Amino acid sequence: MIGMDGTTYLDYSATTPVDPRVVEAMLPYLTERFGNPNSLYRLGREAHAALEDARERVARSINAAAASEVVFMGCGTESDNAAIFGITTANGRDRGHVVVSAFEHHAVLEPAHALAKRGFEVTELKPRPDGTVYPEDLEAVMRDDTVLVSIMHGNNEIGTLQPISELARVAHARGAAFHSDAAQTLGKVDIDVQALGVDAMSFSGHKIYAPKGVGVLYLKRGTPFAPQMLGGGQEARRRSGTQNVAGAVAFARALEIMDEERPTEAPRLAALRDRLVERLLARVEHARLNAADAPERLPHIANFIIPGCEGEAMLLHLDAAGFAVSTGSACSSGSLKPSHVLLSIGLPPELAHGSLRVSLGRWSTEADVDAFIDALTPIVEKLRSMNPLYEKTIAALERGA
Amino acid sequence: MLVGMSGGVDSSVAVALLLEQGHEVVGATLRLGIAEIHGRPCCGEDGVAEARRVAGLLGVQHTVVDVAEAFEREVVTPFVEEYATGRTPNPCVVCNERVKFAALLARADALGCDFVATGHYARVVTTPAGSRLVARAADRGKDQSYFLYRLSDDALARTLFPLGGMRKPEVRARAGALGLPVAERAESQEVCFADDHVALVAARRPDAVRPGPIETRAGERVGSHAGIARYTVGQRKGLGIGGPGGPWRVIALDAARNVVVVGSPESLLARRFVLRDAVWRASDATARCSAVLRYRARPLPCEARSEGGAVMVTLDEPHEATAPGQSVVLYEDDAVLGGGVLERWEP
Repeated sequence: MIGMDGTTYLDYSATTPVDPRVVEAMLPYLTERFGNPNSLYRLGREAHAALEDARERVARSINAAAASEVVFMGCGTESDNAAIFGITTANGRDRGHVVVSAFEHHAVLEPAHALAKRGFEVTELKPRPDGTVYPEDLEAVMRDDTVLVSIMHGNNEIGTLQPISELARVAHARGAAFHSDAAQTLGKVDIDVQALGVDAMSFSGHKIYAPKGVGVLYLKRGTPFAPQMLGGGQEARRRSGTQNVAGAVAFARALEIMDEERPTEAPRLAALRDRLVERLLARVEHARLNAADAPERLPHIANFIIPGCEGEAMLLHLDAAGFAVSTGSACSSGSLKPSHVLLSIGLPPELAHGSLRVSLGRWSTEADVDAFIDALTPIVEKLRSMNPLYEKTIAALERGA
Repeated sequence: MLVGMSGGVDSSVAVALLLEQGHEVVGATLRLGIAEIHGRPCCGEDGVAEARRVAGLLGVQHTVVDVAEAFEREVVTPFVEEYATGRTPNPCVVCNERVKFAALLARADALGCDFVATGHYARVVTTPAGSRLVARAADRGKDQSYFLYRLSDDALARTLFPLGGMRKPEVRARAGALGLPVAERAESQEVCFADDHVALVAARRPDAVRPGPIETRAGERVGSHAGIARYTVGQRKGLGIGGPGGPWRVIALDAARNVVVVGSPESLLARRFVLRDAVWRASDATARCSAVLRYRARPLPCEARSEGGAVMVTLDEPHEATAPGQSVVLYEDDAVLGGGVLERWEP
């Protein structure tokens, strides 16, 4: 897709444009049907009906046992925070053991760090170099006092999928609850919360062509939970605050479109990604695909190491050439610490600095992919020619490999 | 070209000027981690947002460089240690050399930028021998060359100060004309990470705020102090002592004995200054030059001699000494010949 400013957008994992069909569905709830869903008069009842309809459609999509298990929230990060803090501190608990994977999004890692400061013990479980958390590795760190395990469904940087149902079984066998951040996977792969066996799962609207500012927490009935937002008791006391009705409607409509189109869209994106990987590795010498040996991966994300080039330098040059991609994750590109995800799968920091994430989406075409590779190739050559350590880097790489 | 952007008026205008001159500009804002030091949100984070906004207005790319670790290691920790050993540090001098310019130059290398630039009021001049020196800005009132004296020849060869030839009112007018923010950020001579240095020192080195005696050079006890980190050499106010022998001035801080030493104003008069961690750019080992004993101080004619890593300064006329830990900067006309951190002084 080429945007209005001439940018070729290849960063769909950072955010997505809102689909016009979604805009159409949500607009009435910003204007004529603006009521507060908690008001008793007709405007309120209309808004309430739309909200509950959205809840049911989301519940159906993820195969929740009941619509009430779907809690609308302000964003994916809020959903992760609510799950981590809400489950661990339910019923006044103030200690215990928590397991998170080391390559979680910061929306999970930071709450886990905060719990560690409050007296919980936190284990950060490393994925293996193929970008996968293995159930036997989880088994090895489980304890009798483990309260919660949180392992993401699909990694936002490298796109690897995790064996959630087996991991959840391991957690449950030791009496722990299981949460999974599914911001990157919703709509892209089939999600059946009952088959996956999760107690809680977090989703984000703006990754599925709904607007920013709406998220969902799936919370299985009976899961102990302490609400993190207190007030008027909305969302069955699990998340106070007047609901974002238009956002909820948009979320439901966006998810419906994802579900309808997935049978053709997922293979289309996978083929596009394979074209990207194949051509990039053929054109850019010494480039590597990260977590190339993953047993399962998302169809739309490819993460590369381009040795001898710094990620941010590539980003700025690509930006100047009209291409939007990312290095590391969007949230951490404010810093120049190498991506914690790439470090967690065993990449040395000097290589992790040279990563490039391309993520494809609804309006990506073969022409976009080809143009991107045509633009990237001379940028890589230029940056390498300016890098006095390039020959050394490559020699070290070849010794290592 | 990589331009350090604080979000303030000076660096914003610097970016605009470089764009007008046809340079390709990438803005960079350093995240110093000051909020973590204060334990509350602070100007540092606002600066990032403000710089990003200005970059958007000017249409330049913008990046954030997280230097919190280096800032803590190179600036904040030594700052506390200096106070705890009875010295009065100059954190901006260290920060410019070891954090800001080090980070900007490293980032410039990685991004493929040939030059770095900042909104400092200073100039770079080239000597007949071809080396580069920091020099005073056209706007004497705003001149920041004092804080930049430690920048190496290599660094200066790749550094531009677009505001060096301008006066502050012109800079403001430019900002106004371009629709840029004209609000002032904290001036760089203030300690950005501690409104109250005593609180910071007290939190990390409680021993430096222990009460103890105030004594004369002869060892006579004339009062008591509330912790040496609260005092600086030369100080006259807040000693809480009077009576015979006064007016008193702080003439030394003896950290080992936790004693504040006081004496007469005349006992602060000094001619010879020993500078450690010195920078020396003159071609000969000795030079006639002028010494600036602290920021904004009047230049004093002197002779300076480089000896290993130290510089010995002999003033033509005795002058009231400044506190150990402060930087003494040496100028030949407007160019910075060298300088160093005051170790001790002699009459």
